[in-house]
Amino acid sequence: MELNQQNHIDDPSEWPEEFPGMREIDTRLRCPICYELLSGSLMSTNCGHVYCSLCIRRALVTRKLCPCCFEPLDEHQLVLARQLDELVEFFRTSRVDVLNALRHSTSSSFDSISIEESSQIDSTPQETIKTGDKDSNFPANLSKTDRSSPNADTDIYVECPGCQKLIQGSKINWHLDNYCKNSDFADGLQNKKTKYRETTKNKGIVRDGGNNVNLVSNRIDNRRMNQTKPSMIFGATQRKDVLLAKPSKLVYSILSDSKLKKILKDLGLPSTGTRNQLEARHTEWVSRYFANEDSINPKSHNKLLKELAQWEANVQKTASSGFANKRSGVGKKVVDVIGPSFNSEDYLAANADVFDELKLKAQQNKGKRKKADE
Amino acid sequence: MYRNHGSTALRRLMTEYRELCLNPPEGIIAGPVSEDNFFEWEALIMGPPDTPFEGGVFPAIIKFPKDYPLNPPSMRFTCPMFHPNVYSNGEVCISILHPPGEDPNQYETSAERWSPVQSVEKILLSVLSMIAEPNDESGANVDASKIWRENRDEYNKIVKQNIKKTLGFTDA
Repeated sequence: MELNQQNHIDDPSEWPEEFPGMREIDTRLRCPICYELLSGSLMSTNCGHVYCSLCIRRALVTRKLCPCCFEPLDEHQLVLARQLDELVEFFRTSRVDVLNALRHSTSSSFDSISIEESSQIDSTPQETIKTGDKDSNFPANLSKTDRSSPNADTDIYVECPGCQKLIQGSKINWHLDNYCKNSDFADGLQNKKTKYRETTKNKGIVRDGGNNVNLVSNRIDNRRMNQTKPSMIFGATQRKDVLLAKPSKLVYSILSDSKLKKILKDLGLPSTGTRNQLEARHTEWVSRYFANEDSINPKSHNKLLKELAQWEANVQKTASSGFANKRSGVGKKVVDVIGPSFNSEDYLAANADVFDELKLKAQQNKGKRKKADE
Repeated sequence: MYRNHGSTALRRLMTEYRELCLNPPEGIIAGPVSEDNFFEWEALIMGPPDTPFEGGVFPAIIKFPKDYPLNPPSMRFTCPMFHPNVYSNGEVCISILHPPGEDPNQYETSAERWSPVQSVEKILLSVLSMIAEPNDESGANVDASKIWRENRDEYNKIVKQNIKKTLGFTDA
């Protein structure tokens, strides 16, 4: 999965040239920092630029400026653009389908494999629950467009976020608009329901996994139940999750090592490592924690912790390899005062004997002083 | 949805590489030296027409930090480059490669600084325009700045000689 995610990169150029408008829409729904579809969009109230929550939080740690216009920007000037998030989520889910449909219409040698491939490598979870498409070559996703003429065999059944009943996709809006009124087509669905359970099982979708289940209905959920926190809606976040305390930003320079370690411990984070590692870990955790809160589909804190550990392992690899050590993000920023042509490692290597000699002298002096003291 | 740090940089570099392959800007070729390491790229820049650099091809190495795009890459020409804004070791000194507030020469306005929304393509286009129009106010190579300002013919001659050297037509 991780590998697939890394290998598959979607970008606006996937849209055929005949649809320049789609390319533009795709471009505008992307974060200018990571070039991916926005996730947890935050908008600057100062200049109106929009970024992913995690991207802009990380960027503001480095410099408190809007990356697009260099206007001074602070985190408290950012507001959630929820509607944009919802828009992106719908776009993300339809994107693969529409692209596949377009490919289907342009190439005659279409087979179902390409659909499967593209839905696998795309980083979004499978959203639509399909029934009755097993032996048909025709992608079930396409039938979504066919809402006006619901067909018992190809229409998609979705779970109503309100009453948990299975409703035909074409009728879900009517159902919701009528406050989950029991309609005649909702009855007698038990057969379908068991069938659907089986299919989802076969497809390996753990229904309680929360995140995997029908994103679309979650969206509706969010809209309908504005009072409910998103974390209440998703089984996974509710279930067997450690809930970690909200971190706050710190001024590291006034904190002693032991105090910082205690803070990390209280937050549920590992408190080992060098001072720089501790600070970097805390900074990154703050960014990730709040970015997760901004997300339309928040993760469990367990998962977040795992990702933090992964991130740290990655950064440490970088630091130890010595590549771009000055800018690796761990530790304090080193401003290169001597000029870009100065390479501290080369310099250290070239003058190793001088340093050794100085060290030796210092040690001798220390020894002498000790003797004198005695 | 949230990528770890290393893969954020990696994914972005891959996207940029793909973009540069699909829609290459005129006079520029760039890509990773090897597909195993996306953090070191090689770029070939064609000398812009109507400048002393016309007809030359200038190879450069671009190195990206692991927290790219938060911090800018560095760029170094691997051929002799006699230019007011290129250090004698080939390192390019141009405002887009410096984040605001970290300007070794304190000359540049913040308008064209590095920020996470800049890209390899924008850097290379800036370098292209830097080659065509040196900025002698923030000279990285003082000799080149001086000769460029005071004796343009001499400057052009040195540039032409370097081009020949790079392309393997040494007559010296």
